[in-house]
Amino acid sequence: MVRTPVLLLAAAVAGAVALGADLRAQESEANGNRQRYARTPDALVPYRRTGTPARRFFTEPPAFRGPGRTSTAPSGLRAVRLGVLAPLTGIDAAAGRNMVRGVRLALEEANASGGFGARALPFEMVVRDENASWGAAADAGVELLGEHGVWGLIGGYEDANTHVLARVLLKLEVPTINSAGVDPTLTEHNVPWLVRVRPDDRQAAYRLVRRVFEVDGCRRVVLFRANSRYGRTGTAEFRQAARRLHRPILLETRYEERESAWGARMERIRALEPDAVVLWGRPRATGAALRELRRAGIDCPAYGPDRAVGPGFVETAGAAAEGFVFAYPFDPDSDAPRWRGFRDTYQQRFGALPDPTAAYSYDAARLLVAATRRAGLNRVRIRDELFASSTVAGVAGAIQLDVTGNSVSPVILGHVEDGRLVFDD
Amino acid sequence: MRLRPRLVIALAAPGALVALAAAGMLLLPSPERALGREDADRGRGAHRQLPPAVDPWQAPVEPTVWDIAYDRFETIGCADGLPSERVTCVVAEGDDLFVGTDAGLAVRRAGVWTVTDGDDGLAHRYVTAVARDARTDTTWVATLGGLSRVSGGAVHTFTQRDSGLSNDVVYDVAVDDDLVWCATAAGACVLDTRSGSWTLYDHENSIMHEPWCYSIAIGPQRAWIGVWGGGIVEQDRRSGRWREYRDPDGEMEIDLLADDGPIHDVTAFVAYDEGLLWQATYFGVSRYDGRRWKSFTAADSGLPGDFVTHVAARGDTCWIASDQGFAVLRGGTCTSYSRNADGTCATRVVTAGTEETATTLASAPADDYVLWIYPREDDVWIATGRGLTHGLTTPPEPSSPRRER
Repeated sequence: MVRTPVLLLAAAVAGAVALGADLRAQESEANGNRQRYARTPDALVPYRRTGTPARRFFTEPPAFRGPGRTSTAPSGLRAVRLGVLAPLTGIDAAAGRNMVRGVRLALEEANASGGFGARALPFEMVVRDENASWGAAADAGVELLGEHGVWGLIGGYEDANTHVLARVLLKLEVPTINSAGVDPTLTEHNVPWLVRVRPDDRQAAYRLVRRVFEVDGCRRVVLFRANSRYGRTGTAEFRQAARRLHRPILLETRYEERESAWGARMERIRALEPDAVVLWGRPRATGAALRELRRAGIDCPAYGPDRAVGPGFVETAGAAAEGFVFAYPFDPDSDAPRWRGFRDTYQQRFGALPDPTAAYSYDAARLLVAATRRAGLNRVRIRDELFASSTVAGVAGAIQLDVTGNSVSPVILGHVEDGRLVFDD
Repeated sequence: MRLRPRLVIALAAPGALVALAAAGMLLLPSPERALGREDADRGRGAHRQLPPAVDPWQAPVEPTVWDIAYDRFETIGCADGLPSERVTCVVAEGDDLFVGTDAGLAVRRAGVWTVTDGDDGLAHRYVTAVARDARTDTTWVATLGGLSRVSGGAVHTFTQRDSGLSNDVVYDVAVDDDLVWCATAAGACVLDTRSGSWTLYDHENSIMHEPWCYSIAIGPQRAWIGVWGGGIVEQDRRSGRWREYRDPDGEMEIDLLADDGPIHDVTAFVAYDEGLLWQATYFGVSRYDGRRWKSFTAADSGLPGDFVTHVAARGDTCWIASDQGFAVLRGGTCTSYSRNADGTCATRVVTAGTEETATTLASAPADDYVLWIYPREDDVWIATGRGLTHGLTTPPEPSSPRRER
């Protein structure tokens, strides 16, 4: 009679150990092994128990085999223009401002160090609002190339806009670096013109999965996300990872950006007696959701991605924010010389501290400038330069790019303590 | 009652049922069920005046035979009248050519080229697709800046600000009698040329979960929209009901089972003819006959490359435009054409994944970067990054008659 619980306990311990080993495999993959797509931990590989997939994609960098490498730049250029596509209006306008600032700073430094070529042509940016109208990213991409002759693009922020942009890039053939998108599918189309330098929500999900299930030992997890494309695509990897770990999500429910009717949702969540709630959405809406969870007496640990803890999160959540655990692309409190130098320069220039969006936009602009200087004014060769690197020196650390040109740099965790973001790793 | 494809498979092959169950495929709800009846029915109501029900998957009793092999190629470039060597699309009618380039629309009639670009009122100089309405001698031109109608020497342009066009970046246009379908960066839309009204479809009122439309194919009773990241969505134009075809494994980085659905959800183009639907992707090509899917790649089928930008369907045959040449796929046989460095053409015939013959032709397409392909009975027009190529075939011997289309 006693044997059954003992055996169950032993099996649970063995399972936990195996789970930990599988999830930690992510770290070993980070160093050198580029075969494992997206640095996926062993336990989270899709269909790993089903057998070998009939076909594997993204095993080689996307190639551009069209003509254009021998074309020369037009004469009479007075500047080298780079396009920036950012949210200048709407709910993400603050992020758009930081994107522009990061690019501006990088181009100012590039111009101070000689600009482009023997004639020291200045780098100039042409900024367009990705939210100007329905599908504006496509129109903006066409305009930036057709009317302004940009040699490369940086953007966008909202992933739906960047997807729209990526399809235009294939027609226009403009090398583009995304510095702010988090949708894992953004680089999963084989379009050979788009690189992303910030880690996506897949990396955030992997890190959170490890924390929630392995470290904190949670079993009854509720997913509470924004009713938006960002919420849907952001949580997809977490949901699938939980299922692959045999810890399926108890409930996935949604909140609106300006949610006012929380009651029914809270009742549903509370009835399930979760031991963790994972929130996924923009800062203010997520802060409000967390606040309402606590008001409803749901006091289990809560987790989320870095976008959730942007400006307005702590203010909206108030005391409910305490203890909230989040994934973050790097430690902004780091005293690493390179980061400190950038942070001080940025603060001096703009009177504010840089956030990850500003930092990665700065990196993107520097990367585009360096590629242009090496390749010359030829968009295909600039593209070739962007895809030639697997590691890029960013201000917050090395950026590891996989074969699709997507950042698979590890992310860290942090938590809210006394109303401040504290970074743990 | 017509059986659902997955049920047919299950009844026909218990072994396959076990394999599918293991993969979890049977646990997936059908797209209609997943969305619920209300969602599946959204968009109903447009285009009610349609002929009686027909089955688009019913193959003809005598399918058209397109047993064709090209033996020489001739290229047209800027010196011949094209405004640019980057040719993005082409339609041929008799000796007339309607050619899209990144510098405008070029039309060859009676041997004379006429170029229409932005200065003439074309929506944008970059033409992405061309469709013809031969009844009214109208050319519909999809561009990166809107949709243009060229008729009787006049150009009329539709944009998202002055019409019902979903977005100014129009990737494809298709004419179906009085209806003009457009695939745009932010949804699909249909212009009824009789009434001037527009019907718009996107993720809000149709089954597509992303609005990024890339291509349109029109068949009897059905229309298919190739959606970037959303596979293929199908509209039954009598009932307005939607259906979605996506890679069942749900993962972008793999194709778990080779022939269980579209090879990938990122659709670059769709084409339909005589009961066969073809999907071009940047990972290969898929074919659907109403019951079964079959996928083709360079590794297993002899495609010149997996980055496929365009497909054209004629009868049971598919012409494939890739970034490494073009190919003709019929049944399990793929004949590919790629340019050698010395200007000759390498042809390869691969059947069931095994190479049978490889020959060299004296002439080749202008470039292997093929963006569009337009086949006819005895020739093919190939839009490449370095000009427009005409592929020709030796006329068949009198003793071997072909069915005419």
